[in-house]
Amino acid sequence: MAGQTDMKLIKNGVRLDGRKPDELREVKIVAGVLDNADGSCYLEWGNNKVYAGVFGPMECHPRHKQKADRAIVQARYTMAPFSVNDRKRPGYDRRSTEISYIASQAFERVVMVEEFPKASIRVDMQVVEAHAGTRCAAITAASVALADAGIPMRDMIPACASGKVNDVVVLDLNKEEDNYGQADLPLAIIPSTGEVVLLQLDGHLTPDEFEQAMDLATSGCMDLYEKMRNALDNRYGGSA
Amino acid sequence: MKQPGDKLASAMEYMPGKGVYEENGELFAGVCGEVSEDNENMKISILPSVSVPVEIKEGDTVFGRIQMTRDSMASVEILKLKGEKRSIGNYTVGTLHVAKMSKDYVSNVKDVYQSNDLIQATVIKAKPAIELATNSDKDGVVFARCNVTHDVLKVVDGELWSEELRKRVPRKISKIYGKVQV
Repeated sequence: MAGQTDMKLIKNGVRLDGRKPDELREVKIVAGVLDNADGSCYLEWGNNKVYAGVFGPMECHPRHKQKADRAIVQARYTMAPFSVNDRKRPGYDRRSTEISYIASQAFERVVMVEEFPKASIRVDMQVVEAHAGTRCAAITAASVALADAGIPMRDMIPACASGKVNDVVVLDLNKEEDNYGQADLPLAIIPSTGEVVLLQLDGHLTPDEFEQAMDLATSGCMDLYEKMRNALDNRYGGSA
Repeated sequence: MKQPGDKLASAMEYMPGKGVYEENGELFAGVCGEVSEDNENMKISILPSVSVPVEIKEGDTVFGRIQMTRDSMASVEILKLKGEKRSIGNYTVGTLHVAKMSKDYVSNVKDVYQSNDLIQATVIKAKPAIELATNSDKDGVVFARCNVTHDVLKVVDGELWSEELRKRVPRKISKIYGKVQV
């Protein structure tokens, strides 16, 4: 958000990549792409490319993390060294630790953890190419992977960001808007109930803008949810 | 195909079966799959079209490791369901009673199994606790080491043989002894 630029990110209501303020980037979701994982998903969101794989429920290690009455979700978000412009030093960093943690919390809300006491459900999200909005992309991909793994869950959680660019509230920031924009608000919801399972805010929004951004992100999540459902339908056939 | 979160019915109409959960008086799908309605028991469940976490049922063949032996039973940590790619969800222990170990009379459990043997067994009861049996020919030890020298035991003339001790080792061996990739 701190980035300063003279660049006009929105001209005549059209953004740099030709989208309208309330338009998502192109999203492609494929479920069940990996053989070795219990459930998996590949997602392309604009230039973002994310793989998600799910293992489990399995025995929880380290043992002191076990919960006697329920399973825990151990999510792990990692970025490939070649996913960004400058080579990213591989491995865990502060950012990925944070994203892993918030993703685990979001998934524990929807996965029926109480059915698998003492177990752990591992969710691995690998960002292969990053172009802003990877935490949303990773969470979306991971929910499809969880459904693909047949883990009982209340709903899938789509995640989508909105933000503020040149004083306009826009949906789904791209790289330039993320770097030089004024605010970024990633949101994940449970579509059937409208519950919020992830909400972060980077930058500044007025209360009105915040409301607007929330509405925009929520509608973005609902659009995304349709695409997630289609991905599972395509993989396992049959219309609802 | 129904997907997680799809509303199926009211909780007044049906009881929730497999893959279905109840919330606020309504029934929802928990996994991807087709709906199956059992109108006799008024139960609605989902037949999953995705692979689901492993559940041990009666009649399943499992692989396990002998944890310990007692006078009349052995406890077995279940490691794998035969023919299933997915691993067992959690630390699962089954019991194997002396009467179900072999077709012949067993006077001492240690003559049949010793701790750390890998065995194949059949599940004869899944609930409330898992009970196993190994009295068929296919069940029994599939991999074992000598408890003195720790060398891998070989089958010689239908019995296990410890090469280093130059001694026979009594076990109930499975037909597939040594043929299982551990």
